[in-house]
Amino acid sequence: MATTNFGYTYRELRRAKGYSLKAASGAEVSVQFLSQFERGESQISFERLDSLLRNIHVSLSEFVAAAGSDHLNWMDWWAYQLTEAWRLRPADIDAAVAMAPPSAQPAVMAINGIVLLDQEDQRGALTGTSLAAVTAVLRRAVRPGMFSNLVASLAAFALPQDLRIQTVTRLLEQPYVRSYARYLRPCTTAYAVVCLAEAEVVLGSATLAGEWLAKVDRQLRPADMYERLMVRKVQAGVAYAQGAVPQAERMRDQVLRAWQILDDKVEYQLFAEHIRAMFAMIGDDNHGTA
Amino acid sequence: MVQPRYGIAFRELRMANAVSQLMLVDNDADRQALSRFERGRHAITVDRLSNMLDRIPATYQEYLRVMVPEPNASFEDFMGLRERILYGTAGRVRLRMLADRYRARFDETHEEWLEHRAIILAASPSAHRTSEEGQRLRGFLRAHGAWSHYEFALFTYGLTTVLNLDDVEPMWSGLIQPFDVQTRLGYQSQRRQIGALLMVAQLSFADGRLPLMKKALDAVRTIPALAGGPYEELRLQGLRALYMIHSPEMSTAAGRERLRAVIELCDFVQAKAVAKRLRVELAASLAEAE
Repeated sequence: MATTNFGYTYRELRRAKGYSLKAASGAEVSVQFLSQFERGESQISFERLDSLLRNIHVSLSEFVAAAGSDHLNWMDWWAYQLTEAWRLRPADIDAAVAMAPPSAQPAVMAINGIVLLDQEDQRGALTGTSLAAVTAVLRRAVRPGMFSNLVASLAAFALPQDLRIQTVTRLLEQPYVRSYARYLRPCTTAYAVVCLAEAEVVLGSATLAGEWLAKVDRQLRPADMYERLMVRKVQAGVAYAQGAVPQAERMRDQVLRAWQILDDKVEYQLFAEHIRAMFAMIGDDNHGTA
Repeated sequence: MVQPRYGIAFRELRMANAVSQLMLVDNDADRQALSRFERGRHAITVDRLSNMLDRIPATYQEYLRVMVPEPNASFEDFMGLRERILYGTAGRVRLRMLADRYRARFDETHEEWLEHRAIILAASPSAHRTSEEGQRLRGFLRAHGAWSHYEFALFTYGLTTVLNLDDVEPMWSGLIQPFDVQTRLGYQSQRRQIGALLMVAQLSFADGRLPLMKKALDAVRTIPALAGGPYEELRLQGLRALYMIHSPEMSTAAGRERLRAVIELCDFVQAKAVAKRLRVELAASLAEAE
């Protein structure tokens, strides 16, 4: 991560917000140190940087954005490229492989290999080393974090059922990981559970998926509206799989109407295609034509 | 003076991800430095921390969230705590109690951040104190020209506690001209900016100030982060509908229809507080028509 211009950026922000050197340095850092830092000293400790940012009330994300350091960290950047790729915008997900540490590279490669496939084609797409890499990520963490949520969200349709069930069970037991950045949504607990529930509706037990969705729904807050609409989308799938077709179609229509009222054509399209594909896969499985 | 909480939090994050120290470093000297850091005996540079977070892998946000909670923990942690309390049992009462504690500490130390947190949590029951706090807050916001997430949040909650609508115009340039952070990392400050403008629109409406309401709604439309926030969009659509109903230049009937659609969506996504408010307004509007 490039940190050489951190000092200049800090000075710009400090001045823009009207803080003197003395006010910004606070109790933990000397004015002399701050002055040196602003002139280009790069080897600042994280503690001191945290303290300096708090004194002028700038968050770390805002600071790094102002510093133009697009690679706050590789995972954050990869998550962003993935969401751009989904929206069929120019994106470079392959660069994340080189950026990732060696321990994470196998999982990143595995995910990159399947993420742009249709869900139907993702089934069974992970085998051998790629499956082992993804399994290792999902099984390893004591407390799932953003990386394992992201892997779970994106590999949902490619996982064997037992791993899918184990992953959801663990996710539901842990404190929820949340984020309000759009590009970090796939890294949240709710998003991961909904993706896994969707795979379960199509490939396994709709009843089980319905239980997972109900649990997530109870944990959501009003501001988690995107996740709520995702839950409703997959609940429509549950109804469809259980044969309650009119109810499923009503729920589908309500979800799509939501995006119309919210005036978001892109999400409307994405959700509409997604639901169509989900119903089709459920229909195929129900009639044994998969 | 090294603060132990940085290293302790890092150790917790590392262990939650089932990662050994050896996996994060390239040589024994670095491992020893890491070990000292985790025991709170050593500060590490931003570069080294970033490198190790990458190898876990974990984001900065995840690290900051694990930091041992203490009174001047990050502002994000504080806002997260506020949300958790608000949505728990007897939320408003507990927020007031916490606000009182912050006020008491401010009385001892006169550190302004303590008063800021009290203001965000709840209004003082004393009118005299409210007036003093308002004066100090006005001074603070005017002194810090370019706003970031902190000032927007303070302004938003300040409007419901110690400020009033007459403060909006003098602070308008702060409200609409934050740092020019258009990258994906700008979402944090932009989201708070949207929240501030929506609060202005909401309070303007309650006060019958339609031109100010329109000004705020039009300003929200220009903020890129709106595209990632369905909940903010929902609130915006509700306020737009109210504007349509009450503005002499627009169709009241169309406004009511839109308001009904928004209320239905609120019910669908369990945005109860918004639904309740909008229902009251719809009922009032229909009563007026009779």
